[in-house]
Amino acid sequence: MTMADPTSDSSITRLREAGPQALAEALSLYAERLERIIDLRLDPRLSGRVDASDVLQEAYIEACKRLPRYLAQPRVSVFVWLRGVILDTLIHVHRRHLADMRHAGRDVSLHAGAGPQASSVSMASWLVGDLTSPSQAAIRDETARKIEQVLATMDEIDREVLILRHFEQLSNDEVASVIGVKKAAASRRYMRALARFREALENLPRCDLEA
Amino acid sequence: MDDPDHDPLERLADEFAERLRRGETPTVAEYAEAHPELADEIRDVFPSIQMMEQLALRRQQQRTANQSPPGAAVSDPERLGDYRILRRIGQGGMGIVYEAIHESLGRHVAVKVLLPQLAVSEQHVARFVREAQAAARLHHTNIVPVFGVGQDQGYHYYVMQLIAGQGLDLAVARKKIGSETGPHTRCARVSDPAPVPSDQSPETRETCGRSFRRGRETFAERGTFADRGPRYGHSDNEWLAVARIGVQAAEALAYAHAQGTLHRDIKPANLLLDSQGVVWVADFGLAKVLDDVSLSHSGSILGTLRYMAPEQLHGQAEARSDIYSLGLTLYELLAGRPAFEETVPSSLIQKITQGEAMPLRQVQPGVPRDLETIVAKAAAREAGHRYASASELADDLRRFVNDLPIHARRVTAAERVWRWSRRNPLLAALSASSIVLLLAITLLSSLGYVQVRHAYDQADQALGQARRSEANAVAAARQAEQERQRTQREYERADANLAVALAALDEISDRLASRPLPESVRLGSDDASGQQTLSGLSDVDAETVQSLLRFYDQFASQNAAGASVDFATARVQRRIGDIRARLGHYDQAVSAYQQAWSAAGKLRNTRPADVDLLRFEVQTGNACGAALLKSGDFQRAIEMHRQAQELLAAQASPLADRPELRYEQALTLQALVQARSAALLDQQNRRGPRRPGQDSPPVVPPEIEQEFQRAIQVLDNLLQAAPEDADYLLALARCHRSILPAAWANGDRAKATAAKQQAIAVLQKLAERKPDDLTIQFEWADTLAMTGQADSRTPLPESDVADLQQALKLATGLHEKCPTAPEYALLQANVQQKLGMHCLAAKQWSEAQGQLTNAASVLERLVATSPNNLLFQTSLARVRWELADSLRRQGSLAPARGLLEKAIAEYDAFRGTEAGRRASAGLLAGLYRELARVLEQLGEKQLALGASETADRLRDRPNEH
Repeated sequence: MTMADPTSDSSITRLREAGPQALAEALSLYAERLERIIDLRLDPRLSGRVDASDVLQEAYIEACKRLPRYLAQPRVSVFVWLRGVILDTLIHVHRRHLADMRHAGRDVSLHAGAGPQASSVSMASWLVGDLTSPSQAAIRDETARKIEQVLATMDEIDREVLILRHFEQLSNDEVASVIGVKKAAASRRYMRALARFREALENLPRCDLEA
Repeated sequence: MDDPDHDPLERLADEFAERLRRGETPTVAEYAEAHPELADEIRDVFPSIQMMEQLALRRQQQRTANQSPPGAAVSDPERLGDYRILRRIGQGGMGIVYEAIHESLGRHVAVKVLLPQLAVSEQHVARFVREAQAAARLHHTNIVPVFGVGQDQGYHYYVMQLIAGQGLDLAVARKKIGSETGPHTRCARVSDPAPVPSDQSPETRETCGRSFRRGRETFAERGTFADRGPRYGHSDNEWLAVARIGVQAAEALAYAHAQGTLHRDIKPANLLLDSQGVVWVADFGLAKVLDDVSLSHSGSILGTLRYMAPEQLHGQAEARSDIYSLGLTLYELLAGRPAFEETVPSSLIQKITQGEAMPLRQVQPGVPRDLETIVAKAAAREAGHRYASASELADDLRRFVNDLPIHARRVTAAERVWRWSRRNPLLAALSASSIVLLLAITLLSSLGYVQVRHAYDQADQALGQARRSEANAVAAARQAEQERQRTQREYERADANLAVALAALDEISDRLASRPLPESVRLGSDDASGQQTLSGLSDVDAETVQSLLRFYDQFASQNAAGASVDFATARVQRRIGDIRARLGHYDQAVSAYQQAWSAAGKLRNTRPADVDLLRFEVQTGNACGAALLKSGDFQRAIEMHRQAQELLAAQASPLADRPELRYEQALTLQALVQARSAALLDQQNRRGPRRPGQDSPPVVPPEIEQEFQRAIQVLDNLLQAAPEDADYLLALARCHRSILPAAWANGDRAKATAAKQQAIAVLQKLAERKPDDLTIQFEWADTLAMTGQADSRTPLPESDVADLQQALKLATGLHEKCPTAPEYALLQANVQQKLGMHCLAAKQWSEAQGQLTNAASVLERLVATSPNNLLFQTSLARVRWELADSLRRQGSLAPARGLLEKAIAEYDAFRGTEAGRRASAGLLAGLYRELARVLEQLGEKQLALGASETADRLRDRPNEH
């Protein structure tokens, strides 16, 4: 899972050559990963009003605007850049739709400008999406509740690293690029977060790991 | 992975997570055993990873889960009638397909059995039998023949020819599997993606007897698409092969449609390809005889959702729905993935009705442009944009195969945005960015137009020169001729693109222009300072319109030099006028209209018989007059309409008799009457209320009466030829309405009542005929609401009150239907306010308060969404004032004070903003004076004095803030 120096990335060359056309290709290439991120970070109060493809479309327009600036000095890979654009777009979407709820006690983000937090609320809504039976609902709800509880007790850095690795499914290199640290440091943070997750899990009263 | 600073434990953790994502079931123990040196750490952290990955995976599965196929648990019969069942070969939504032997004939056949759970309903059995009968009537080389239909042991079945081929869904899936397992096609990002097809319909799963699961692999596989480049279907032969499949399927459809049979369920799984390359359209299983309406009652939606045309989602299938489904099928064959990949039904439906499939060449850059165009046209969302018939589609595909120019025209980017915007009925739904995008595209195409036109002129000149020069005649002339033809083609295309782009913008502008402010809304004379910039646009719309304006301005200056686009430039000037008027910038609107008017006038010298040009000129003159009227310049308004009228009168007989010109004539006369009426009422208002015995007798001046009668006469004539024409009727209603102010001004009560009743009668008739037409409802309500305003002592006559009550019902209905349309809300609030004032005068206190409170809350919502709108702010302040007045008169002093203080604070704050520059000082003074009265009664002498002084100061020095 090693990654080349982002500036020599062939998709950046393609972006230089074909512009918005290549951008659309890149977006479709990463659509599923990006949609996963949107799903994860979209406030559940907006589900039904906004869907991932709306956000993607809006992000495309935004990305078109920012493309020249990015190409002038690409510091991160295309995917990581697009992810950033998506998060910014999500902020706009949230602002627009939740203007009056903006200060309603949301978690503070891990690093400035990182975008909406993957909140425990949206995690939980993952699990009640398309349920088929009440008993399934109960089981899923229980697992979600545990993970949610555990994540809630962790500090923000640890929580964000775990979310990036396991829910956004970013590689270590991508995580490093996103949070702006060296690969080795990202790797250490991840291992530390895993250890703390386990500790927190053990401190929960009665927890069934084989859920 | 050889990264030296990569922790070995982390590397294992990565691998563990990846395997979980692929659906494998690695265990913690397995890893601990294999890596004894790390066993403790593995036991520590792997369960956490497992837990989180399972949670993530479960969601993924939820998004993509296919329901277990219906009938999976059905036990297979051994024999049905004369048919011995051999094996199950497939399954559709309605039945299971078996291979069987027709024993008496010794041949292999396919037998489709209706699912037993469906057979319980008589309706399904009837449909099944009917579909078999319909299919059996079809005889075509590309349709699977149906032999017969039967019933045995409670099974209903029909028998068809067994085709030695495979469904195209399998072909797509196999090709993918092949390419995925190749050594070069491993995905770079995911270490080891399992070879899995992207989407498995239940029947496929059944047919090939394997169970597939969809997870992260899909993404991985998609990730490789672009990288894979030439390895997937990039040979020209492959595109041709798909086109040939399309030709055959389209011909089969054309034939079936001609027989009155729709397929209703075209999808890859229903197109069988045999070893000879022949396509067999199978399973006219959902086909329904076109003239049989008995089934449509159920409103049941059939077919496979993913390939369904949007109209089919509403239970309406037509021939073009099949064309759409075939288009999407071809898309999938070319792209290697479905056009719409959503797996949750609700989001799939939303995508089909709202979204846009990614342009084919963005998914597969190798697809030839013409083929992309054909597929896009076949699968256009709106049926009207598709091929009109399957044979046209077959024809275009054949042309592609034979390398001939195709008929379908590419949809330009501007057109795409336009279509998108049309699906969103209110302008407010257009996001600013999409408008900007549209404008940019339009500007580009107009630039292209100018450039290409230039090239064309040059080529034309070159040709002329070549022809003239004898020496190198032949070769040079041929070359020049080729060049000329090439540029001509480009020129035509650029021209068409520009026309489409302008039409797209016109559509948006028209939508704006067709939503006028209610006529019945009139602010008091103390608000005259605000009249110049009144607009009913919400802030969002106003912003959108501003960007439209910038575009048109740019276009106008860009094309000012080229003489060839004069008419286009005149049109653009007219648009600028429309938009300015809509924004309430009447002076600027007038100057734009005048430019358009004079440009058209110049053109007319060269094209005297051009009806379109003449109509344009007359309409522009009238629009200019209307803007002048709104800005309060009555005399110039009248003059403008008169010029338009003279222009029409100057036309000679055959031209002038054309109905569209007579219609313009009626509209012009009506506008003239309206302007004169308004001028009269304005004069009257200035003079103060009319007293008995004062100068003229109470009749409408003969001049106005005469024009009014002529307008009515022209419309009557038109209506004799077309008695049901909605435009004519609407014009007639407006005509009657326009004389109202003149009748009021002169105290001609009989005339006023008659005119209003006539207008209402026409509108009521129209509304009955077109109950869904909101414009008519709006006109009706607005006309009903044209009553006098009760002052605080004189109640309105009973007939006016009845009209207002009916108007309120209509306006409330409109407001509920379109809660975001400001004009409906404004009309509702206005009617409520009038009723409230009437009740106040009639001393019906609680009713008065109820109406005024409702009006205030409607206006509050308008102000909340559009805080920069002068009209909304002013209306709200007035209503609050009246409400406070009613509270005070009932002795509710404290609430009255609170309301007034709020009204003053908010209106004053608004006056301090850029948008509120022209807010009325008189209104604010009135609010202070009312506050002074309330404070006085509360015994707050000092405060009352202060308020009263502020009111005086505002009255004396209105421009001071």
